[in-house]
Amino acid sequence: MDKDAEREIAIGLQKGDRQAWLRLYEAYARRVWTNVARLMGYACPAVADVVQETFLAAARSARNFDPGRGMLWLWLWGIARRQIALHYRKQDANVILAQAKTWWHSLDGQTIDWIDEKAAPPPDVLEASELATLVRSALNQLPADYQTVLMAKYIDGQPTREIAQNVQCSSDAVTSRLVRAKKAFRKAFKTLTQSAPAGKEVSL
Amino acid sequence: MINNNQNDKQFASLLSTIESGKTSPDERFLVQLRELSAHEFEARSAKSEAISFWRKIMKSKIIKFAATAVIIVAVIIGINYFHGSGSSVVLAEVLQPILHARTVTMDILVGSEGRQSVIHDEVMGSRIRRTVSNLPDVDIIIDLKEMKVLSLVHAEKTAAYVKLEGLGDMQNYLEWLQKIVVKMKDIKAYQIHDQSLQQIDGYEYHVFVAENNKETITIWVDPETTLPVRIAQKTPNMQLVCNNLQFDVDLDESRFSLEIPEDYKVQEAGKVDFKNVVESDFIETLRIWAEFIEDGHFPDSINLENVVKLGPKIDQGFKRANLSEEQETETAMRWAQGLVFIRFFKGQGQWHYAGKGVEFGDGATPIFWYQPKDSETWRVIYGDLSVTDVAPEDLPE
Repeated sequence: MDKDAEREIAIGLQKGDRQAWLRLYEAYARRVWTNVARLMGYACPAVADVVQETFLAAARSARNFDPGRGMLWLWLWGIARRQIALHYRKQDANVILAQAKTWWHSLDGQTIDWIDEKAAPPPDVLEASELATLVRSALNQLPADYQTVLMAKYIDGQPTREIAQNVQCSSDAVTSRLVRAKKAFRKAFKTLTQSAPAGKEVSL
Repeated sequence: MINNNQNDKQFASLLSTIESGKTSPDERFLVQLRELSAHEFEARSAKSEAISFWRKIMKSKIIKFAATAVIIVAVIIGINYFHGSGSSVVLAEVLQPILHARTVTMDILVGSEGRQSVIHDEVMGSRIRRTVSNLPDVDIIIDLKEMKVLSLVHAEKTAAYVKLEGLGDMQNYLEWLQKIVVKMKDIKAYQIHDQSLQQIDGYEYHVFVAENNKETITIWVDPETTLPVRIAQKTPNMQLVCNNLQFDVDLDESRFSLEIPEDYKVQEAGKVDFKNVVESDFIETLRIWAEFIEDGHFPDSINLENVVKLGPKIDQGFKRANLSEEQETETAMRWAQGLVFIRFFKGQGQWHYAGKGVEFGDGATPIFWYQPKDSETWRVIYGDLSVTDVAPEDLPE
């Protein structure tokens, strides 16, 4: 969404204009769904609940949205992230995460090299659901803007220029944000997998 | 060793593990949610009509005073609910003359000793004539039966009426004191201690302390007249003192008239519906507080003392933000409007404030939570002013 469209929607939201809300919804509902499903797992039955809670919470506070404090997407995605965290606080997610950590420790091979991109993990490792659990957990620990650029670049395959347009900054800024985001992801993944399997992290 | 392209591909493979079992969004669900969320958005917007009322009326200075007066009426009256009582026959006998009093005058002090704003009240029947130390030149006449407020700005010879709605049956202070007397006779929720004689300014008074685990009420009684001269109410959130109490003072009825003096210019300010003050109003109050008053942080507390003493600070914040006079007034009123949400809190149990030192925009830190009426879950407001519903077991510690 370009800056002008975003400004129009923000003004409409402040005025309580239904059309502005619907424009926001149409622009981002599927993206919120997809990203929530990625971070919770497509098969997770709570995806719809989290998406619903996200939009209802957003609807309740949309009139207070201040465009001077950031983009609509990051505001909306911030609400979604909190809903995901809240969901996991209510669930006993430790068990699944502990299993994934145990699985990781049992692997043969230079697992750290896989994360540092010095070597490619074997296909059977990439297909394991435990790895997806660990990746989700590490992603969930990143700030919203890092999550956004990483998923856009490495999962959606968007070119840097397109990402720059969506996040309203220059291509150079996106490139450097991607570098920082990758670094943060690697750090989060290593911290996660180096901690004991029964650790208290609950975000998946 | 692998090159950059391979690096990217490999990283993409790693991240794409979370795409396993990928499905499309449930379109039927998204259509339903579109309508549901739009309805929620509109409902919240409709409830914010009270704010737009303020926006419309703020064009006039006299209406600004009238509106300020209304908020003061609501905030001050709303705090004086007295739940429970004690069992001291002696105290009840001492207070008995209050039951027959027709008028009362007093100074109400809000806040810590020496730093208070002073509200002077004269009460006759259902009417109160009020002046407030930080609103010079303004007299406010409140009729709690008709739920009408008349504000008179003498320097400008202007006057305005505001009709109050949604406040229910409000008590004036005389009724409030009388209810205390009646309740103290037979309810045992409070422990009454007779602290015997105490000297204030060279005079001796009987002091009684009524307390339970939520509040302490101290009453100073003149031994000669057996009438209270001072009552202090202290709760964790505020301290309020009614000082210089005088009963059956001979007051001129015309001082309570809702007629406007002949040479005053009149403006009808409409009505304010306090029933429709909702969570989003309170959130707006928090935003203004952090943005203009506390320079990017949420306040240490949102108690009445802090509210009353903030006049000069909010002015400074507005000046820093370079607001026009109209914007200043509008923003101040929106700030005050949301306070009514707390003063007339209708939720179950208590609200909790934990915003001390939290930066505005900190979406990870909860700053306020409360349980709405008839709700099993709690509402939690974060430092970025987003709100979520939370089960009791997941509340912040």
